[in-house]
Amino acid sequence: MNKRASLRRPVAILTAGIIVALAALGTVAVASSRSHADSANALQYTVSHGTPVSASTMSQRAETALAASGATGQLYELGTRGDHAYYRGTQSDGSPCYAAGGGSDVATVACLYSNEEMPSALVDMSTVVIRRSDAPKMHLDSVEGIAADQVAAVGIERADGALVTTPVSGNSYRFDAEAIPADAVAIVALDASGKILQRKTV
Amino acid sequence: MVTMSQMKRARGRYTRSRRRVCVVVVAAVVLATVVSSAKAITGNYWGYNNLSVTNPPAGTCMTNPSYPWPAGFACSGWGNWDQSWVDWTSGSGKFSFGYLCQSDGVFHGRVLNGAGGDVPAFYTAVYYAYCPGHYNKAMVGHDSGTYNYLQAGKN
Repeated sequence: MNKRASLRRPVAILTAGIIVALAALGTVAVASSRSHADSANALQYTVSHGTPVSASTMSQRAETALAASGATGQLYELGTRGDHAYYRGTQSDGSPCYAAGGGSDVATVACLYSNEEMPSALVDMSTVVIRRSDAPKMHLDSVEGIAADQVAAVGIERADGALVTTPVSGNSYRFDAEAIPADAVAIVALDASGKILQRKTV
Repeated sequence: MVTMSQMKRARGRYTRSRRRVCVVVVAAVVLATVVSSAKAITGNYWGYNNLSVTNPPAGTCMTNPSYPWPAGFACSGWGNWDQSWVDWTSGSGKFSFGYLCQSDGVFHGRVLNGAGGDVPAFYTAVYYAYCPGHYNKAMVGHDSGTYNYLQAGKN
């Protein structure tokens, strides 16, 4: 009896270890299959690597926000628009992060669940305002973001279908506040021939 | 000649050794899982759960006791939050996340739309770009489409 009892405990612990390991592997497999599904469904968009940025040049607030989002790898500046800068970073597993902000600060970060550089034509960072009195109606407040190399211009589509466009440079785009029409219905990515690569209703 | 007590001691050492190996294996697996998702998943006020036109129900987020927000909106309590975040894992609806600013009582946020090409990710919004002041609520709200499965929080 004692011999059986002494063997039963380590076997039980080993079994528990295997179960935990299998559960962890299952989690990794699900995440991996999600990434693969993303890869299979998306076109092959690319984005330039930009210029390396030293973490010491970023504000403490920016460093904290980047780290909290998972962007712990080398940071690259893709471009600037006015006083805004656009960045590309990486996570510990190599997946990309994109960020934007004023100067050395960071206002918004997106760390993707994708192994691709850009799973879509745009990583749009546009913002809206919602008032309780007419929620959930959104009022477009700012339009900016990161664009893939294949995107030549970004447009704001008005209710009548007309487009207000801005060229992409440094893989980034940004509209001045006064250029955003009140009847905006979508943000579109256009290639050099004017073909719509992505349309996001807002 | 090996005595019974020597055999028992040897078996005890063997058992403890296997137990230590198991503990080390389990600890390594748990550590690897934590490190692989090294994001600040703390301070959540919503989810993981579906965000939709009916979930959460109306009044889940309150500006104050007299001003309930409609269904589909969730928020944290008031605080000096540095970051508002969402861990969006699936769904194709349109929603936004950001801050309910105390200064104007208005929700300022980033709009995401799965049907419009935005992809699941861990998104963070830093307060200074959304609200004039630091004392706000972190907030997430459904706009249209079916649903999005996500967790939302603040740091």
